[in-house]
Amino acid sequence: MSTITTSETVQPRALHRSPSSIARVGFGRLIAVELRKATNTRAARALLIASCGVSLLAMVIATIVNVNEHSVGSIPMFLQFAVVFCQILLPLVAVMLVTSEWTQRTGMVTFAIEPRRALVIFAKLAASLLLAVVVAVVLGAASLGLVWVTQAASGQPADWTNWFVAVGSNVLAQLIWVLIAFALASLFLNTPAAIVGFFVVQLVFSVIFQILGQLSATKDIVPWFDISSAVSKLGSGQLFGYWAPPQYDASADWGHLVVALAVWMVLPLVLGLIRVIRAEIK
Amino acid sequence: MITLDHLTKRYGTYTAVNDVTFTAEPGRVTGFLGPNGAGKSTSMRIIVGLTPATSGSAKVNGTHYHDLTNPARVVGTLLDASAQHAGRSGREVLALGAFATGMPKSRVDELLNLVGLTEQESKRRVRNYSLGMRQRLGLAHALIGDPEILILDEPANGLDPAGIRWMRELLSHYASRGGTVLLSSHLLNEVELIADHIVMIGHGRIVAEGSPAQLGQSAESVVSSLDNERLGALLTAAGHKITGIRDGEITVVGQPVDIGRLALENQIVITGLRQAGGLEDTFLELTASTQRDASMNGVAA
Repeated sequence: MSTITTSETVQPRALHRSPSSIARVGFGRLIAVELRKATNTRAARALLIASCGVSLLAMVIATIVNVNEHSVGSIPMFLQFAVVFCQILLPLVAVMLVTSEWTQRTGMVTFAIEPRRALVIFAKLAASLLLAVVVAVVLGAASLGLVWVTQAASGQPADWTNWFVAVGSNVLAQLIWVLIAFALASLFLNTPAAIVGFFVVQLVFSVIFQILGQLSATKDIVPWFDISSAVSKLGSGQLFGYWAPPQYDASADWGHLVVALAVWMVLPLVLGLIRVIRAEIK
Repeated sequence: MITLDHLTKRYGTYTAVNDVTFTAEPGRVTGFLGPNGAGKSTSMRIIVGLTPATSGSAKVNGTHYHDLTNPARVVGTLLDASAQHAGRSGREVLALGAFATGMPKSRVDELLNLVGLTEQESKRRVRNYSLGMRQRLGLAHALIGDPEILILDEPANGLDPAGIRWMRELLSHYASRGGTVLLSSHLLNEVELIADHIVMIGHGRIVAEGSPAQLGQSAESVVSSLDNERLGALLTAAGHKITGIRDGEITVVGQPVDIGRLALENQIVITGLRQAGGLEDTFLELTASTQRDASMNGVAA
């Protein structure tokens, strides 16, 4: 601690007198602020690096294996690594962006600077999605690049058909998981609860729904709630009619996806927004 | 200017803030004084819209906080020095604040310098800050938007005596430039040092309001002499009501000048004469019924 600073260091300038001359903080700046918050803590950086790094590492290992065996890798094979790590880790960045305002109590500062709380939440949502897009696109590009490497190394032609559908639908699936995590975070406003809630929805329910899907009593209801199955059909491009089984009709699965999203994403997000707007920030 | 008008906040049957009306004027430091749980923090949160009021209103410059164009440029707040992300450095906290309020980056160094945090300290994570350093950082953050109003909840908490003196100078300088300061404290001597105007609150209600001098005034004097018995009789005869006799001291209604004159006229040697109370007695007296634990809070305060 330095020695006492006396008031001499205060510039004796007149205080603001016309609030009308002060510009409103725009939504763009709010998003930029939230992007900065999402990346300027050690925990958030670690998660971002881990989600990208672990995926890339897995991809590189797969490439080495392929090159050694003189085989060519496929785009979906590489993207699968992005899915496995990113859809678990990337949503946690979104969770923390919301919940840390409560667990670290920075909400008292954030919502004093911007009292329109819904705007803050939407800025956080936009920032989470932007980060997710960047990570998903980087990993998509890495997948394409590594397929090319295996192609060059093995001398066999890779399957490049509809590569943009493969990468694009993968990005979409990542975004949906981020949105679901974000919605649960704004509902729970507590980091551990939101993370556990997210994994229950993503992993535990998926197992339960698989079992229920085999029971005759429940097998017709399950697809409407089985978000994991619906999102994986989207991410694999099946919903867009690519790499689908023969005689596949996507319309039923689109319906399932929409309903499951309403249940696991829209509903918690709406309830969460109401909670955030009404809550007392302490 | 901050105006509270019949502000009330209820939680179920519990009334945290009860019909509070006062104005924090520009150009002076208004001290919000009261024991813990008196409703100071709740009132402050209501002013900045973090807590909804049950009834009544709280306005800054005649406007609801929510309706200010860029509130942090008008009102600087420090509601809890510990409410900062433990994983960010002090410098990053301020940089983020400057960015969020649209202030230039240069503001960060300006404020670090103002609150006496060194370059090195500013790079440490907030989790490693002492309470005093967090208060300095919090004050810097409150000032980041160059506001004309400051709302500070227990800002002197955790500061050493030199730090309190520093804060007094900073805030009185700020007020002398036309700024409005509303700060809270549960420590009387702190408020006495820093504030020009005191609003005393207990159990959610305003119990007294005025300058430290005004609140310190008492109608009673405490006198001791070599002949307390005769002095007591003379005082009673002269119409001064005696309210207590303890440890050789007489507490009596009346100003010291009158009592001294009476003793002089009757040739009684006075060994001690002072005005009863002062702010501390007023504070304890006024909040005695609302103290959570008189033996703990009251005496220690």
